[in-house]
Amino acid sequence: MRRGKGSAILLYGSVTALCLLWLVPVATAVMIAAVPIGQTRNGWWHAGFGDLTFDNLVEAWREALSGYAVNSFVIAVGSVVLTVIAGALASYAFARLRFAGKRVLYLLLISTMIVPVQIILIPLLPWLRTLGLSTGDLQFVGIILVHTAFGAGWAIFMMASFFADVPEELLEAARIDGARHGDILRRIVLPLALPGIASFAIIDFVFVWNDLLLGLSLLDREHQPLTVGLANLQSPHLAQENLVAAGSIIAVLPPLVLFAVLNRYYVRGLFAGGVKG
Amino acid sequence: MNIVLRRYRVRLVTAAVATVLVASACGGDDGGSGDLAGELRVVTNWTGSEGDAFQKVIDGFEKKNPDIHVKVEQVPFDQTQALLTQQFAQGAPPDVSVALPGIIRTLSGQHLLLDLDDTWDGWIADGDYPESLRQVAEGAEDATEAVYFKGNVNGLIWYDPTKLANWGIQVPTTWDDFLAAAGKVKAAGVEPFAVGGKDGWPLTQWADPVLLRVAGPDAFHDLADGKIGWDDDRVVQAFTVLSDLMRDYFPKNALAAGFIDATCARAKGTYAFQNQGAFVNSIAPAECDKNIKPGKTLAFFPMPAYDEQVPAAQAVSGDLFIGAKATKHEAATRALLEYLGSAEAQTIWAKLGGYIAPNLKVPADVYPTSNDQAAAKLWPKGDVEAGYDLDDWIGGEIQVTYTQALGQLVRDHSVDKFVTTMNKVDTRAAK
Amino acid sequence: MAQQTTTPATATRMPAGDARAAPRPARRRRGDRVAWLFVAPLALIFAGFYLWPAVQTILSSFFEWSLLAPFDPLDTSTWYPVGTDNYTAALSSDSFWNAAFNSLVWLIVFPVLVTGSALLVSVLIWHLGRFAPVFRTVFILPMTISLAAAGVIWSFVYNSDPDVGLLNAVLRVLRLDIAFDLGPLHVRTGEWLADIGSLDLGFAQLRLVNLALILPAVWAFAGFGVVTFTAGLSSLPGELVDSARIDGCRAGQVVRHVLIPHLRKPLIITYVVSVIFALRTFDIVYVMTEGGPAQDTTVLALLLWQQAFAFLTEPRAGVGAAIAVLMAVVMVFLAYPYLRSLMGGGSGDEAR
Repeated sequence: MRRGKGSAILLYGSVTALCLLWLVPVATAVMIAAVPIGQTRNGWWHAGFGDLTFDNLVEAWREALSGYAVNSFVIAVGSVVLTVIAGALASYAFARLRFAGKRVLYLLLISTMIVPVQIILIPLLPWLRTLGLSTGDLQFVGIILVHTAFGAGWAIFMMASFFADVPEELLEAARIDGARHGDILRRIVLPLALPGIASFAIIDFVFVWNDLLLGLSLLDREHQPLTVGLANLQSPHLAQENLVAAGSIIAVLPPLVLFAVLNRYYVRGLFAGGVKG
Repeated sequence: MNIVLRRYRVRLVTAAVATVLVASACGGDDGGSGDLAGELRVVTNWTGSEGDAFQKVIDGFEKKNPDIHVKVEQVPFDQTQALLTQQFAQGAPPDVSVALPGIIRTLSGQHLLLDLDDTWDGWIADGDYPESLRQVAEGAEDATEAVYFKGNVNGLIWYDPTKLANWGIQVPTTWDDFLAAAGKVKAAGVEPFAVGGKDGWPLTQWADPVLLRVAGPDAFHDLADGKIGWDDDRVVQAFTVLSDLMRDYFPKNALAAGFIDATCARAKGTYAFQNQGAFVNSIAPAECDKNIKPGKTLAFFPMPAYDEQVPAAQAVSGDLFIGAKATKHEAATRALLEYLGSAEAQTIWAKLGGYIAPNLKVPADVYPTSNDQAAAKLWPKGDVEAGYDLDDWIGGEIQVTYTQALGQLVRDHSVDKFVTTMNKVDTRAAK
Repeated sequence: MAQQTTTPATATRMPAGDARAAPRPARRRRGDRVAWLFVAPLALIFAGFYLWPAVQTILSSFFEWSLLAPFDPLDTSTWYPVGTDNYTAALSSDSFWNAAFNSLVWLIVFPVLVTGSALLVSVLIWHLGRFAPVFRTVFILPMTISLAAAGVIWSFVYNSDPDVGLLNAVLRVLRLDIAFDLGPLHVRTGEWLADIGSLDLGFAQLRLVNLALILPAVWAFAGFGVVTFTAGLSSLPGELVDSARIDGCRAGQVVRHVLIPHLRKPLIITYVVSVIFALRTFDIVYVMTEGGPAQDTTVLALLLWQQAFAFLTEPRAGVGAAIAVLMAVVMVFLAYPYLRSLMGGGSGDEAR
């Protein structure tokens, strides 16, 4: 494809401008997090290199967010592990087996992708209390199960399609060799579908990590995730933009790092999630 | 609707019995609930310098009770109600938490709070508190279920004495002088009032003193208790006065800036006055500018009387503490609550400033600045009538709607619409 | 049924299970049991922590209750049936219709902006060839950011103090202080999270501040559209575009006649997923304005949360549940065609 030089410059110029515009909010937060509050109040854009400091990040972490961050990790890792294990088992059945009730169950699972989470929100608290999952560290178990249930639809939707991509010939050969379903799943399907599973795991991690509503509504102050901690830090009664900005950087860092390291899987997951259907 | 309500009450009793059963079934580890030992969770709203001050108060308690460890958790003020709901619903509430009268009565109605009547009986007998303050701490069924920890007086007009002199304005003592002063600074190109309406609650800080001065304390209390509607003539008149004030003297960004922004902008000189509580005295130097000198560059005058016929009353607010019935350490919880209401504990914070001790036995000379002392002097000691913060008193949906409706009033100055909105959500008087 | 040879871009139906494993009737029940062993863990969690709570929500919307005195479907002593009162209470309150209107604004504006900006960006980047992935990353990046953090981050941009907020600082440098009235449209700049004007629609007033909240959500979500469109574009034969150009089509015509028809499916997906997303909106509003000033930015999801968790003096959880049911009904109605396509075009040929 050959185009005129002028139009190429125009194209690159406009895309670059758009990119810069897109990065402005993040750059704003990074700068406010990196300069003292006094500088922020007099225009952070006047700051020089000498003003840069890690104090805000350190203080936001120490004074406010470290506990929340630990909670977020426990909740996100727990949810992803449980969802991937339970989801992979079920996906094998959905992708490779026939069974009574399959279509109804699939419809119910898939509908979670459409129906707003609010449909389960209000009775959850009393229900978790009835189950004895509303106090102490058991709250983690409760919210992990809720996240797993809520992520089940996506899990099946994505992983089953990756499992379905595994060539039938391989499975047929294994079956002839007398392999059972557990072996087939473990030795053939899982290794081949691993990139797909990784994609789902990352997306699920980002999703759970970024949840505010469930964490806010179901957990006590000691067990709430980082998103809630950030909202609390933004509490309107204090002039601490520097800490809030630092907090927002801390809150977005883990998914961002995951994104940077595993970009390929993440995009592939989104791609599958979006384009299927 | 009445049947529904009655059913609801019946259900409350059932729920209460269940709660008691659960509570008694789970009671007592760490050597039982009778010992002064264990770890207590305390929920508060204070951060920054106020958080440090409260920690000093707690340090005093831990020194006295070495076997009790107190863990302080901070939650934002406007999320307290939701958080307490959730934690009481979870069945694992904090042992002690900060609470306002509206939620105290709600939780009390479900029999979730410790009864503190004996403690209060002692305080009243010893002259620690006037009887009128006890009413603020009362639960749904005449039992006192909270302690008053941090007092505050409202309707204080904060200003910078050096600047006021520059504008050639005397401290106003009458309503007309007050409006004239606002007009004068406005003519000089300075916005009269810093508001901070983005946070919602600063708007209610305007309504309380105006209601008390225009409608009078009787109408104020009747409105608070749901005995009269918002269309009562006295109430309508008060909100008309307020609405005119908003129209003539509120800045364009009254709803855009929050409390801290407004406070600091006033300190910078963008605004001449700020109608707020006594706590501004410590917040302005701590959050805006360390060079602010209470007494020299920061002072207040009480909002002047609107009508000499109306009996004087002081707008107050403040923070109370409740104890959860479901606590595993009842003795320790009670000890902490009793301590928080004591002159000993309150003196610790009073010395640090930005605080008014509700306990009458805290000596007047412990307050660090002249502003603190002047504000503490305004604190009702049984002599002058107190009007406790209207929306904190009512709580719930009415409180939220009230704050929102005041925001609307700032915008459209339509008292009719305000009254209609409020009467629709507050149906207590109609029942 | 043919063996599935799906690729991510073409799979359109639910995984059907493979035909060659189709059981003879005699083996069928045993096959069922094996399959259900695999499905059971997920199905149990799903039933216990999604289906049952959803059923509870629906049931409890016909009862009066609060979180402190909860409704329990299995305990008749907690039953205080009120018929459809919760629904009439919700539907007859100004707060509900105000929130519903704001949610409607989200439902209309958000998907249009997401789809439009993502389409523009994807097509532009697609032309870049070798460097496309680098640029694309910039637009996908905000997708990893939580909406709570996105709201916080944008609050800095919007800050009304021109010494803190970048947007107002730029306007100050440009000496722009826009304020104009154009018929029913009133616009003013400066107080981005409080009042930037309104559009009088006769039956309701659209507060433009809602747009200031939608923008960060678009920023955070457009990456989804970019990925979707890029997937669609990658399957577009380059010759098709070239030949169109050789035929003398200008850029605009290429987009209209070649790209858009080819991107029909990604367009629909982006649009529908944005609609789903728009109705759920809670985080951004909660973090940025808490529904204020007054109730200008309160959306249904926030109102529901307040009813159940914040308005405690009256037992309002049932009203919150009613709002949740109404939201779910609206969403299922709006997204039903999408749901059908997820199910594989509603083909009834699956084994049972």
